[in-house]
Amino acid sequence: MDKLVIFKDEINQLLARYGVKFGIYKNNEFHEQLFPFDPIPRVIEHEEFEELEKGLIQRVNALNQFLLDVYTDQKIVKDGVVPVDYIFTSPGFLAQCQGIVPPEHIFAHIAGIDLVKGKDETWYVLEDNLRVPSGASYPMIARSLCRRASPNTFRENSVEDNRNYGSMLRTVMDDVNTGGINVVFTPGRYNAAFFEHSYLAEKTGAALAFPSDIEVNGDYLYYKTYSGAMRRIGAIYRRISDDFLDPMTFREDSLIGIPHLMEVYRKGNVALLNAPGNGIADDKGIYYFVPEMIRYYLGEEPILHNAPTYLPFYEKDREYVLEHFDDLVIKDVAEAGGYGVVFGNKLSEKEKEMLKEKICIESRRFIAQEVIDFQDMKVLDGDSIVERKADLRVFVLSGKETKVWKSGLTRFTRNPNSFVVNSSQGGGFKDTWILSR
Amino acid sequence: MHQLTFLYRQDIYFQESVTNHQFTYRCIPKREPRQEILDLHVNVFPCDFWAFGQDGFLNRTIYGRRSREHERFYLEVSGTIQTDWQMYDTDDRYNPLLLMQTSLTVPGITMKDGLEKEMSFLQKEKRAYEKARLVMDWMYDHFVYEKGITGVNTTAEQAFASGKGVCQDYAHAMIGICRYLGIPARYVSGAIIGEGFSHAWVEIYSEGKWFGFDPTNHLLVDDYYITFARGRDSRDCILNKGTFFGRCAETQEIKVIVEVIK
Repeated sequence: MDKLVIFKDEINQLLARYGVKFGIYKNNEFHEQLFPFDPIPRVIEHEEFEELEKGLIQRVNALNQFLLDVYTDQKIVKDGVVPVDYIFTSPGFLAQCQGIVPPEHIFAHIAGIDLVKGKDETWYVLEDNLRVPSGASYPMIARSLCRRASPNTFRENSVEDNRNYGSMLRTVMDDVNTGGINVVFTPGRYNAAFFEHSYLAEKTGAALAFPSDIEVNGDYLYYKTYSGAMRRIGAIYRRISDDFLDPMTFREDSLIGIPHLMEVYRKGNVALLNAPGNGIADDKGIYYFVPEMIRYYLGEEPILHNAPTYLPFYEKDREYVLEHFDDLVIKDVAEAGGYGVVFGNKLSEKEKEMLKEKICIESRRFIAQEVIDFQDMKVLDGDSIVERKADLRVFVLSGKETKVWKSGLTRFTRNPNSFVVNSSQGGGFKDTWILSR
Repeated sequence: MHQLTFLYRQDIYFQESVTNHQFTYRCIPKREPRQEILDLHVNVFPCDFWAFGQDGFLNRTIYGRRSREHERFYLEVSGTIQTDWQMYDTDDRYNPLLLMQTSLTVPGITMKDGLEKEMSFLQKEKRAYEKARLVMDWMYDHFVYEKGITGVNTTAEQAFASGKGVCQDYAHAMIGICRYLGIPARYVSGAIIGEGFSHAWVEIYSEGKWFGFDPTNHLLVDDYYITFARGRDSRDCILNKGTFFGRCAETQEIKVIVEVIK
C-alpha cells in the first residue's frame, strides 16, 4: 500500500490523461474537473463482504419485483403495504410504462447501492440508485493503473480482482438481449460521465452509439454502422435519463433521444438497461418502504439496514421530526446528487421555521433521517494523512442471476466538515478492495 | 347497436421542405366490447415506414417517420365499426391513478367555492353515477361553448373561472370535480356522429362500471360516439403528434367524418 502512496501523483496524471473526468453544469456552463484519486484503498474483509453481498442481492431482487408489480398488478398498493400517494405522486412513476413487462422481468439491471459504515460497525443503506447509476469505471481504471504502478502490492495482498466488471455487464446484456447487437448509448461528449460510457463500451465489446447512430424502423431498433449498414439492436445500455429517451413519449424537445423507442420496447423487441420508470423505486420516499418490500415479496427479513428514516406523511413521524429537528437530516425527495439535503442544526431559526412549515404542508415531499455517525477514512492530503467521511457505492447486476461486483466506488469528501460525498459536490474517490480470504 | 363508418384525415402543408419528420397518431378506434372494428384502412404519405403501436394506457397508435425532404404530408384512417353502448368497460386497473388530479384538472378556488356554495347537496347522493350527472347539469349552467378563448394548456380552473371553453375544457373541469368528489374519472378523445373535428368527453367509474358523459353537449354517451384514446387528461390522448427539422410555417387541415350505415 505504501508503494501506491508513492505513486499517487503519477496515477492521478494517468487518470487525467485517460480522460477520467467529471463534468458539471453550473449556471448553464459545462465545467470539466478531474475526479481526484486517493491511493489508500478502502479494505473490506472477506466475511464482511459476503454478508453485504447477501443483503444487496436480497434488496435488489425485491426492488426488481416491486418495479414489475408497480407497472402491472400493483398488488403492493392493493395490499396496503405502500400508500397509493407514494406511487402516483412520485415524479419517478411514469404512466407511459404501465403494462410493460421487460425481458427476464428485470428493470434494474445495474443498481448502484450507496452504503455507509457507522461507528457502530453496522452498514447502512443510504440510497438505491436504479436509474442511471454511474461510477463503476473509476475503480476499474484506477485498479488497473495501480496494478501497473505496483504489481507487488496485489501479489502480497489477496484482493478480489475487479477487472471483471465488463464481462459481468456483458453477461447481463446478453441475458436480456432480444436478438441483435449490444450498444452503449451515450448522449455525447458533453455528458458528465462520457469517459465511463466509452470505457464500458470498450470493456463490454458493445458498440458506443450516439443519438444519430440509432433509429427505429418498423417494429425494431437499428444501429447505423459507418458503412451505412443497419444492424438490429437487441439490448441498449442507455446512459441518458428517461425524460430525454424518446421525444414522442417523453420530453418532446429532446434532441438526444430516439423517437419511437418506447413503441419498440413495449413490443418486447429491445431490452432497455435500465428500464424507464425505475425512478419510482429509488424515490427517497419509497426508500422507507424497502424493508417492507423485502418481507412482502420475498418473505424474508431484510439483511441490510436502512438509515433510520421518518416520513412526515405519517402523523406520528411528523411529530417526531418537528420535535427532534436539530438531530435530523432533511431530504427533499425531488432532488438528487447531494442537492436538497439539509442538516436541521445547520439552519438559522428563521430557516428552520420555514422548512418546518413546508414539511407540514407538503409532507409527501420530505423525508427525515437520523444523522449516521459514519466512520472516517484515511485520506492522503499532501504529505499528511487526514480523516474524512466516505461512502461506498456497490454495483449489483441483474440478468438471469443477481450478482454483486466485488469492488465498488468509495467516494470521500475533501471538506473536513462535510458529510456529503457526491462527486458533483467536489469529492474524490478511492479504490475498494474486497479481500479474497 | 349501430354500425358506423368513420374517417380521420390530417393534411399538413409545409411552406418549405422539412426533414426527419416523426409522427405518432392516436386516431384508431380502440378495440373493445363497446366498439368492434369491422374493417380498418390506413394511408400515410409520404413515409419511410409506419407501424401500429400502443401506449401506457393501451391506446392504439400509428407511428412512423419520413426522413427525406417533403412539403406535404397526410395520414388517413378510415373504417367501419359496430358500437353498443350497453356494453360497459369494467377495467378498474388504473383507478388509483385516475383519482389523482393532474395539473390540467386540479380544481382551484373558483371551482371549489362554486361546489361548496351551490352543490353541497351532492353529499347526500350516494351513487357516483348520480353525482356525475348532477355535476354535468351544473356545468351546463356555468359553461358556454366558445372557441378561441382557451388553448391546449388551459387548466380546468382557468376555463371554469372564465366560464368559456371547448370540449377539452368541459372535460377537464368535469374530471377535476369528479376526482375532487372521490370518483375515478378519465379523459376520452374520439369522434361523434357528423362531420367536423375530433371530440372529447369524460368517463366516470360507478359501481363497477365506466359511464360516458359528454358535458359539452350535455348528453350521455351512446352508440354515436367512437373512442380513440383514454387517459388522465388531454395530454395522454394527443391525437396527432409530430416533430421535424426545418424552420417554416405549416398549415394543417383535419377532417373527421362519422356516418351511420345501420
